[in-house]
Amino acid sequence: MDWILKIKTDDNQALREIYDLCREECVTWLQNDFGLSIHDALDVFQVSVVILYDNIMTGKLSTLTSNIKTYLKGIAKNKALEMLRSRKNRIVANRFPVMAQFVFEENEKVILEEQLSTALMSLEFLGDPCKSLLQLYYYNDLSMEDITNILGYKNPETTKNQKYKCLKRLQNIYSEHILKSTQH
Amino acid sequence: MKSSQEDIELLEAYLKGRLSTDEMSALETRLKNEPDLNADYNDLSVLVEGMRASVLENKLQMLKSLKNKETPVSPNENKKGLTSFLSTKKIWLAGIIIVLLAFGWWIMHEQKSTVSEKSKQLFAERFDRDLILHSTERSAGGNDSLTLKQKIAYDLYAIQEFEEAIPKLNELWKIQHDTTAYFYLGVCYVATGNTSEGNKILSDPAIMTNLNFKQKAASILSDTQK
Repeated sequence: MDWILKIKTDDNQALREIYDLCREECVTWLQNDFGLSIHDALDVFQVSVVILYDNIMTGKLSTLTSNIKTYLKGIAKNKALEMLRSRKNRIVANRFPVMAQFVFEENEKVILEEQLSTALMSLEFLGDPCKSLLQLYYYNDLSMEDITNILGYKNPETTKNQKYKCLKRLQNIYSEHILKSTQH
Repeated sequence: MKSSQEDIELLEAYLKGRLSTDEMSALETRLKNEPDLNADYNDLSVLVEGMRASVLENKLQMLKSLKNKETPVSPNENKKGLTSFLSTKKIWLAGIIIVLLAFGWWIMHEQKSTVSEKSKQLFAERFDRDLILHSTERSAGGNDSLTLKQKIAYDLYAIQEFEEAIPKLNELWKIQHDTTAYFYLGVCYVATGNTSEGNKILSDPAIMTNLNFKQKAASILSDTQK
């Protein structure tokens, strides 16, 4: 099974299949080898599946040299150790949702916490279809033709113009909010 | 965003690592010398990471919904599970805070907004806040409650592609008696300059007797009749 291709072409289905295929073995392993509760083991496992997905989508993982379970366990091991370390050091829980925290930590040197939380809030405020259109273009890296088919627009040119308008709207919401927060 | 569409495309290619070495160094020189372009680049970088975080959070919620369907909780795990329950609770709290902040912000804008002459400003300023009545949020599992036809027609309306939306909304009204589509159809006509047709729809009993649309329709009617 070419998981990378599957994730790129039908991500939700692929994630469900990976979840079903690896869940039991990975969760049991996390409980036995790291002493995690079933809930913590499941949390770590789920985050690991999403990180695997992100690694594929962002191009960090382009070929799987090992079994998918082995790769997933590699990610899960790091996340489990991170969880145990933060408990040992009594690190206060982050104010971000889990995956936003993950993205923030990867960009800590260049993006401020407030910028990322404002970007997230602006996206929610923007709503669909703009939000989906921008995510399909920037994150899923789909072509204008593919996005046109998915969202039912007239042609790729309309989609391209729409993408520009949506980005402008998003950036206006974002800047307005950043400006407001700097005035306070 | 002050940069042209072409410059934004250049910044996108830069962020996606698709520029040649020469193109990259030319752009980097421009970024040093053009503050507006540089500001747009900085914003775009943050927004793209925001999109990434939002997609990943959505995927995590989808997996969590699978977990909820499948995972039994054994009694002796309840105590250990408290920590992760609290952490889940924090995620919800963070979500609620985001929604409340967005709502507060919306209220502030609402108070500021004034409906002025006829449709142009109405659609420029009030549209996103007042005239999109269907939910624009998607469920984590992708189970939208709208039919495909509704989704396409509503989406076209939401992005203000009124000309394209009109026949689709008309069909939804005529075939399914979808009153949201009918209201949107009235708004589309007003927005495209066919005020008489728009007003006719917005003052139709199907709209004016519906509490969801009555006030908004009355507001548009009063605005276009000024």
